[in-house]
Amino acid sequence: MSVSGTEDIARAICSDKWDAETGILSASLFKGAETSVSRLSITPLEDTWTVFRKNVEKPPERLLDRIGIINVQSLMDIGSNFEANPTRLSVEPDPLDGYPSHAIIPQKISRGLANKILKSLDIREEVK
Amino acid sequence: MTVTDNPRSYHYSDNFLDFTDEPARSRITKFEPGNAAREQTILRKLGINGWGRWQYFRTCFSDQWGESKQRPLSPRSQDRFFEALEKLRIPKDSKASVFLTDEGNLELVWLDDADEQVQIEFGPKDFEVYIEGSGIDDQYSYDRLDEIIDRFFAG
Repeated sequence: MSVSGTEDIARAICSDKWDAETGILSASLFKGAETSVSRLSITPLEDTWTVFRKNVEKPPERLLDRIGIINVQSLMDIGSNFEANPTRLSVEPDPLDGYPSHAIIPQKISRGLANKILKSLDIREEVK
Repeated sequence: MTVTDNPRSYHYSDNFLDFTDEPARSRITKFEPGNAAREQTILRKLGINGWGRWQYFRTCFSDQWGESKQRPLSPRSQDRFFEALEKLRIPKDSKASVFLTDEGNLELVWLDDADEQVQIEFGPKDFEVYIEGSGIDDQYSYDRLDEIIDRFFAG
């Protein structure tokens, strides 16, 4: 069963997609299919940093810089309202061993749509 | 078929590295004599930040990476990136950067005079152009590279 529209999901923003020097975030963060995300209803944000670090910092030089958060219903609305190519987006649970909050956006997301999603992304820095 | 019909009359086992492949197809990171020229190009066009990011991708992403075994930096994408970079006019004081996509492609992004994004992703066979200000969002084959650069970026 798909993840409810009421949930928020988190996407890891790493150094290959984010340039801290210029503050530019790459659309390829969401472009493509099977985009990996985490459900904040299962793993709260403060713990998601640790979970992401364990899973995404490969090689170790690839650094987790930020986390982008978006509501699932907002994501679906952006997809269906995308004029150039309305896209029915969903978030599907895909729990992994030791990572129960893992989920994916299975649909193929175009560059144009990825740019729309980026504009609605709530980008967080880790509070230390 | 005779031996002379087939320049390679022997076979490699599946896990044996074939050094007779073109460098662009090899997974081995080798000394690349053209890199000095490339370093000058990227420094001139994208500054020290762009140069640093390219070096970062070259050295740290030459094998599978990330949570989903994303692809290593593609030599073909890199070749196309530099071919285009030589020809592109990127405003001198604009913010510009380089990214690596999950497919192993280099992606060039800069902000235009209106502070809106221009994005070009260099795939192995074609390139994708997104111009926020004019709503351009398209994919082209490389035989149209000069034409597209003249049309949108030669300024």
